[in-house]
Amino acid sequence: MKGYSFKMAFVNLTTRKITFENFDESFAKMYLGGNGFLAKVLFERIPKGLDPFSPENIVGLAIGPANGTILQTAGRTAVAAKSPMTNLFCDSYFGGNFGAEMKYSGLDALFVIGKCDMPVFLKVTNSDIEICDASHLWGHDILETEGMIAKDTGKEYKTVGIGQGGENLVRYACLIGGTRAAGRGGMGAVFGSKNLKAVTIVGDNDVEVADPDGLLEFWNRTNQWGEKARGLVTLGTPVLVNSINQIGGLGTRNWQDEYFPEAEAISGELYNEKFLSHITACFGCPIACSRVFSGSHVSEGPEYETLYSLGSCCGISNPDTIITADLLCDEYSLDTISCGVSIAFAMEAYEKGILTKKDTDGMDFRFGNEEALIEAIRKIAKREGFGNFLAEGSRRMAQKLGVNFNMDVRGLELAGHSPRALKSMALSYAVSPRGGSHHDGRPTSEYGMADKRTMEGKVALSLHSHDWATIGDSLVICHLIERGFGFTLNENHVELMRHLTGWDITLEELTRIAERIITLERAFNVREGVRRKDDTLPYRMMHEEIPSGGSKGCIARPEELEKMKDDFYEKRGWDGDGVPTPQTLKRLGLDWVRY
Amino acid sequence: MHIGVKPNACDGCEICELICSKQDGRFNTKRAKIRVINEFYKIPEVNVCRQCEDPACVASCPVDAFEEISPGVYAIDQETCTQCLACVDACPYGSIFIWREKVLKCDLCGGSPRCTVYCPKHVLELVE
Repeated sequence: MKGYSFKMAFVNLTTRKITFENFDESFAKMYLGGNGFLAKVLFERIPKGLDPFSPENIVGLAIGPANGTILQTAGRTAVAAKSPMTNLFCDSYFGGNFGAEMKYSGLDALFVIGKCDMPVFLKVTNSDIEICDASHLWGHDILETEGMIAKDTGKEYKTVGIGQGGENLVRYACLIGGTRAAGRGGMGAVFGSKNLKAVTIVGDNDVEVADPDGLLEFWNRTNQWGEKARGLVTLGTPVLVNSINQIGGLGTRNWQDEYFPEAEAISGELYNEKFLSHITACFGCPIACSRVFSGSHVSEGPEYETLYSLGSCCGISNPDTIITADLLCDEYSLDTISCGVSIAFAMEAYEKGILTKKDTDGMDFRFGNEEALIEAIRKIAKREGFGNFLAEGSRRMAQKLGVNFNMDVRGLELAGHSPRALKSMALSYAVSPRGGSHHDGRPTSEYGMADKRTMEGKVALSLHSHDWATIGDSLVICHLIERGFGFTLNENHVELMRHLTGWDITLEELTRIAERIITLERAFNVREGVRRKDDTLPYRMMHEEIPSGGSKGCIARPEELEKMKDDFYEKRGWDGDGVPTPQTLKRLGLDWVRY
Repeated sequence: MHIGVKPNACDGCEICELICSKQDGRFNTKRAKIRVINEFYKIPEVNVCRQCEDPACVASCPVDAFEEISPGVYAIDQETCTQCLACVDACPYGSIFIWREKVLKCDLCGGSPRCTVYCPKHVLELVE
């Protein structure tokens, strides 16, 4: 079976002991790679109830059978840990080229446990791992850090790591690899809690695929991105700002509305006209959705999610300010989604008089205050003054203030896709292992549907898009490729699996792998106490209608959500309380799982 | 003949490296004879042999490992090459690369370079 080195590394930073474990084909066939490997190892080795900032937490980087090959977007990397945002299993992904480099190194996964007594970074050279002193890097932002490491190691090494946000344990600190973020769930904070500044990696081994000519034929056949992803090709992900705003699902002023009157000013059209420096692509990606924008500062991005979180959600309509804010978040390694939505929460609290200038270090924290946005980001990264409060995220802030307008699921802030305007996203967020993520159940195909107010077909959409996303995350490739390969698992995915691995897999078997990984993630969360009552949405989404715009009147009514959950649990083989049944665990080969 | 690179048009996807490195079912951009230079916030650049008229690499080789496979296009005979790396030092453009003990120079795939076919942004073209 091709596509694997069959090797994982485990680094214990407390003891400085490095071990390697081999896995076999049956393991690969059960868990596929990336997401699946991380779910399996973390379930087995993270004890129930562990504080995510405990040295015993494990953060893993993993790749899959696609990486380093010519399959589109095969430079991507998976990362997972127990999340300091949700206290649950959380996986996150970043583009760029780290995943290909990891593949060439001969490691399929790298897990870090323990805590070093000094700042360190890991230097990986063809599976040879060194724990290196990072004292000189600590305190530097991640883009500087990557440059400093490259100066010592040579530019061939690819680096992922943290800036000051991760060092200071901002709960939503992310990882930055190259200039791309593994944004969600605080993976950077887990790095920081281990005194781990970065991982830098190089490899020069070949990656063998089973059917290279078949893979090339597949590549040629599926490469019509100008037709299938025209918006992404021409404007990048910011193309979504205007279209989602017109549909009426652009989270505005902490989701008090979903229509942002100034959206045009922060639209993809505007950015590409006024600020475009040049277009960039991740490794092996023919779509090339990344944009380098040049305003007062130069930044790769902002992407759509950032334009929502730091833009409309905070009532900010100055595109240049968002470029600066985006760059700051990248440098400090802060998840722009959680950072922006946390600031938006505090802005609403300020406008309601719940927070005053006494709380905000004198900042006039109204929606739309650009200076406050920038100052808040700086303070968050340093956990300074009011920033220390904001660094905890919306849910913890709301709990302290005793209010319910925090816009998160399981403690993770909502992405820029409305659970009121999109019924499938209402369900997808509620049952997502991660919480407020748009990368479990996917929103893409519902945007094109005629009737967004009906529940008809929406449970199936949530289920099937989550199955595909999980396979994509295990291969490990980018979800934007769905426009070419399909929004749900289909014969394209089966075919590419055969070309990559030589495994004569069927669609049914591939779907079962997705179910297995999703159920294992669910089992991790069930072990932590998650049940049906926790599969819910922010209060506002369930009790306040969208007041204006194209989706005026839409709402995710609790009774509708409960009905969809019934159907969803049944199809997943979970009981009425959302717990995978013994029969389901057995069917999926997970009968070893204990809650 | 050489591979022409459209200026300021590369997006850095490295698909040219991938297709160049494809051999016996294997991919490995470290074996590519064409390289993409990706640096933060800069327009990516492509580094590939210009097939110089008076090639310094050929002149520098002490064992005559460069074989003229078509007029003006040289390939390295790996059997003859002693990996002294004189050509790597001699190339003024840094367009000869090393993978392990192997010296790598673009030989235009014998006249029909795959990178020019697979580049999704049509940055590369065969110039007669």
